[in-house]
Amino acid sequence: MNETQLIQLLSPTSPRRIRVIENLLVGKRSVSTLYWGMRYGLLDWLGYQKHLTRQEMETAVNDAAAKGLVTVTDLQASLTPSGITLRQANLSRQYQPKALGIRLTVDIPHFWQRLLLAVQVVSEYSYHNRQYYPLRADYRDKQAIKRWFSANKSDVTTRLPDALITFFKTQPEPAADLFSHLLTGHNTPGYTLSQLAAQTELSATTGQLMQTDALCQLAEQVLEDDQHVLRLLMHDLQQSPVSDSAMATLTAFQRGQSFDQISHQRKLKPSTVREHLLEAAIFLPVSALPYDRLLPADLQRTFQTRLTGAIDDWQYDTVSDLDIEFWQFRLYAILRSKQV
Amino acid sequence: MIAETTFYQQLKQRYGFESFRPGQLETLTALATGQDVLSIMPTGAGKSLIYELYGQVTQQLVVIVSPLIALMQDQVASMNYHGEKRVTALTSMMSYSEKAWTLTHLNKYRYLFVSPEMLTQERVMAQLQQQKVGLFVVDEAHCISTWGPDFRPEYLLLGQTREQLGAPLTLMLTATATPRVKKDIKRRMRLPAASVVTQPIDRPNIYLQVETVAGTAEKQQRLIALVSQLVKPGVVYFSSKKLANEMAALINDQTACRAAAYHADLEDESRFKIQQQFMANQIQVVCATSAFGMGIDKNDVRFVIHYHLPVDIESYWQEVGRAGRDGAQSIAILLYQPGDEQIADFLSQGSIPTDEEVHFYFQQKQLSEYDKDPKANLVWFYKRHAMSEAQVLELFKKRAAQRTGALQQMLRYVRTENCKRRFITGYFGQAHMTQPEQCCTSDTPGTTIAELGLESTAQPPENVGLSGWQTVMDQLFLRKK
Repeated sequence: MNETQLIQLLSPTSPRRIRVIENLLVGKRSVSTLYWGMRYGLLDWLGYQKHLTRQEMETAVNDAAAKGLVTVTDLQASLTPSGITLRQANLSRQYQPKALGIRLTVDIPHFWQRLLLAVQVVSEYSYHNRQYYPLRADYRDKQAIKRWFSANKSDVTTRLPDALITFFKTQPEPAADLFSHLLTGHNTPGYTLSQLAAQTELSATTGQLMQTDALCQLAEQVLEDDQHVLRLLMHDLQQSPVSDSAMATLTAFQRGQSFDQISHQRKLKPSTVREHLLEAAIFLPVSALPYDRLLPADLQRTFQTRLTGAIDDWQYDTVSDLDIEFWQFRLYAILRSKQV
Repeated sequence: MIAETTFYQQLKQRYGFESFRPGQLETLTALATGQDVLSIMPTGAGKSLIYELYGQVTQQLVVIVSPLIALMQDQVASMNYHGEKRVTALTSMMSYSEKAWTLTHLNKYRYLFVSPEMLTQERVMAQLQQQKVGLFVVDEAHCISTWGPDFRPEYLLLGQTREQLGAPLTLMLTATATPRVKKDIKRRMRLPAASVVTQPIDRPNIYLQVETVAGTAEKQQRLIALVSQLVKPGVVYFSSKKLANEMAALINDQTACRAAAYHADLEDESRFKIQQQFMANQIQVVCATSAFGMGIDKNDVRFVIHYHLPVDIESYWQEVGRAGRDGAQSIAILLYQPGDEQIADFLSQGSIPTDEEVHFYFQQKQLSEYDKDPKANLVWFYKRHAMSEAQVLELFKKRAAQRTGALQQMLRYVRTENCKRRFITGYFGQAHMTQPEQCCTSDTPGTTIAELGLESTAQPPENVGLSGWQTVMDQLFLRKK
């Protein structure tokens, strides 16, 4: 995290909660973080920087404030006019990610482990070398590589480089160069990201972003093509953005069970059941949830007349006199966010 | 009884060597007659070859107890490299399912690396008891001795563990052991009759230099000058990760050579790349922390510089041992700044719990809240093994005094005007040594780097910049045109 990245995550039009951004990057999945992440259009960044510390975040905020790019009130950061100008200029100067969102549905860190090991194995194989130090990898990844390699052995020394070349051609040159130098193989140890950042004009933050985004784009290419040489490596890496537990709650609700029944059967606090449904609502399309049961039509009509203006300005006070609970107010905001 | 010729055949077949290095065959033949052995051989003398070969020849399971996950992983990688696939390391890094699979398929492995902590787990012990362990190896066996520099309480249980495994034939390996540590290892392993194979720890091809500098700025300048002047590759040891990072950056900035930091903060991927770059001489200098060994052998390291004062002679000598494994002239330089002993003292004592901490952790009903704190774990280890608070306090007091004594010895090495080499061999209780012509700063203070033949004449590598991805792809994959 640095000030450039921070500015990219802030809005030119309204203040944003610093803690929400921090929690999103770290990957905390509280409903509040997820809701505001959705409202800010930043859900793609969920868990992007698992090791981000409070201190790094504050340093970035303070640096940006010291340069007059942001102001902070009540832990909410707003861009100043010069912050807005810089953010605008950075849109063309700085690397802009395209595919980070796939991180929610594909286990990208493991995809990287597998890609690295696959490239090493095929590289050594292409040189007919059996004596080398293999990269350390998780058992599951190693097994996946073994299966993949034996299934593709006959033409893998052609197909893997071909697929990578096809991929590199879709990338901006600096990103393709950076990505290729991170790979390791026969007599080619490759470079670490910090070594590459030192040798190019890139910051470590940007280098990291380019690597992750390029990898996400490669993952997209693999998923779009059933015949892709890396396809077999991917089959157990796809995941739902909704947690297993939240998904189980949704399924039970869709089967017609009430909140109380779910709470009792799944031994969950009633508030957890509601949070599960909100989480599912945030990640899934409108059609995936029985909104009619959650927000009866007359309640939706009442909300529609009472809650006007920008969604982020809605106040629960406006509707708290109705016979409702807060989660319904929030769910309505989620629904409307998706309908816009 | 296995014939000597069988070992020779395997040596040739497996490694392509005609002859053993000193100590290897002695240890193997002692093991072959069913004797437990404590083998003391310098770093890089080929200790692992002994148990690798023993496993090959006897076709039995070899269990190797090793203190560091990184070390185990390197050893596994190294055995993979030599074509041995039936090897794994049972570590806390494994996922639950991976560990479960490994434990139920132990018969698929010839070599199993484990940490002493792992052996205390009932599930692990139960599975191991189902197997016939052909050889039980305690690597870095000095860790078992309370007098050893890297003492780890879990190692104390190994004597008992060995008996639980049906008292298999046992090999204890260490690079550095004073007579007192040797005795302690045998006692704690409950193997007083084990035979001892000792190799000279002296490394006559390494010139021993100690330089005193006035302050931090001079020390930095001196480091930069030495790194520029000396033949590479080399290793510089630091006592902190932060400084290792900073100095690697400084070397890259101010000299023509390439350096990288190498320490426990690196993730697997970076660690792998930096090791491989160093092996391939793409980087010439590694800035390492002392706590972090490099498991992969590089024989042509020409210099080892210590930027900080090591906490004891054992760790110093172990690190010096990285230089000159090929037998060619090399140099070890210790840069000493008066007051360095305070940092060393802080590091050396820092891991020992204070009286207040001992008292506090003893009072806790559960460890859960503090289980990430190594000191809490240390105190609880003794508590669980039925020691009283007073006994533990006494134990740590002794330990602190012993660490102070060890550091004093290190300082004596720095300050002695007598032969440094004789000091080291004397410390390890080895009277005999052949003094090389160019020995150390005490004996031949005027010796220059050029006289040692260690002055760099190589042109600095040209900075050609990074190639494009097309070139990288051509290098990575050999393809028919």
